[in-house]
Amino acid sequence: MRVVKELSNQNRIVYERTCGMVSKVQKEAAYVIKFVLFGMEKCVVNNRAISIFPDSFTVLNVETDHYRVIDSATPVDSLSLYLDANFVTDLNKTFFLDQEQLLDGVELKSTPHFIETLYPLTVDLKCNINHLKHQLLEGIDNEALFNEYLHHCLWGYYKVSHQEITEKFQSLDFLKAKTKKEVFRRLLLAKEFLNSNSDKEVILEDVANYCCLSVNHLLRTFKSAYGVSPHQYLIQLRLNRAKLLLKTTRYPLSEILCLVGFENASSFVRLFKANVGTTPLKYRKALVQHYFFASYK
Amino acid sequence: MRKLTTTHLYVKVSSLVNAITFFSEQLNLQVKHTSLRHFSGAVALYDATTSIFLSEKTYPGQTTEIWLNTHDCLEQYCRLKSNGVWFKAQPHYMSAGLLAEFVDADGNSYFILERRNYQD
Repeated sequence: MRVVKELSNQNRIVYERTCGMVSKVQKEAAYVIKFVLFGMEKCVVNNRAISIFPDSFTVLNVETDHYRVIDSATPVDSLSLYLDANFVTDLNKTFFLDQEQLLDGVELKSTPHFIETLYPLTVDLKCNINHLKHQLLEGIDNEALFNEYLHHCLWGYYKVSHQEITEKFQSLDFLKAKTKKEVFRRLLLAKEFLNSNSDKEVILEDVANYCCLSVNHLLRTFKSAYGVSPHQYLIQLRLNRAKLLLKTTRYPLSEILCLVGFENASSFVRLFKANVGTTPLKYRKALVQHYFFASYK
Repeated sequence: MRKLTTTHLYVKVSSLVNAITFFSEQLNLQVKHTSLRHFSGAVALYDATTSIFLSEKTYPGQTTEIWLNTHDCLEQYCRLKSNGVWFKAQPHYMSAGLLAEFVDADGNSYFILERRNYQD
């Protein structure tokens, strides 16, 4: 299933639901924001393979080489937003300039440039893309509404980018700006590796090799930027993914364990209980009861 | 099972005729004249549980700030805007969710709130 909505300002929304797909290298004359609503999609961006899960999204600049691979037993839901350069430039100005500068007609020196990595999906972005998908599948023909959703999605990206890039970059303590920039770039690679491989066994040396940092340097700088060690980050990521699967699917616990990358049930249940305060099955049961009663509201 | 709660909001307007036109034509709400022992005016049905009581008279509990819940703030914002409703600002994010604010001819403020759970 593929639904495409082209807007008169060159913005485009593409919703796809498929089990298998390999798309060729595309060079889009637009900025792209890619979301996966259910399942997992592999995306190769500038020769880097990243896996997009429903708790994350990625962005691509104009003319970025990329191709996509979907290979799943259950259908994967994905939503791609193709944003025209003028649309992005306008919002870029409102994000970075204050009202006075906008009124004075101040222009930003450079064109918008997205940092192509994985970003966490925030509640606001999730709500907005779910509404967008709903209106798209309903066949609503309201350009102003779709542009409003796109505006809020792009704004959501800028907010996440500010938190994940600008603030984390500032939290690093280096004397030389060039070193700081390079180390941060490598930390982004490390985080990307953890996000993309959380369903597999991850060894710290592999992460360090991938991002070209020594294990000690990686441990120290990762904690300094993100406040947790790579291992703690990975555990939290797996637990959050398990929570999402418990909430949105009827998969048995054994299958969820494999999908999120835990090796044995006892360590999963122990960590889940320590983190969420209840066992996975009780968590799922409570959610079922919550939604049952919510439907009677 | 949870108890069904209904919300009654009382709003004072300078002209009931104009208010009925605004609520029915611009907000697309069902409005009917009501004359009860304790209330005389019109009632606009916002949703199954929320009614807005409009009157030219003064009643206790009348408010100038009306909070309405919605499941999709942006959809409602665009729909009302295309009907000519004037919004004070673009929808913006608050700790409770996404909010849009518009006013009627009497200066009453209406807040459309899409509640979002940021704790999850």
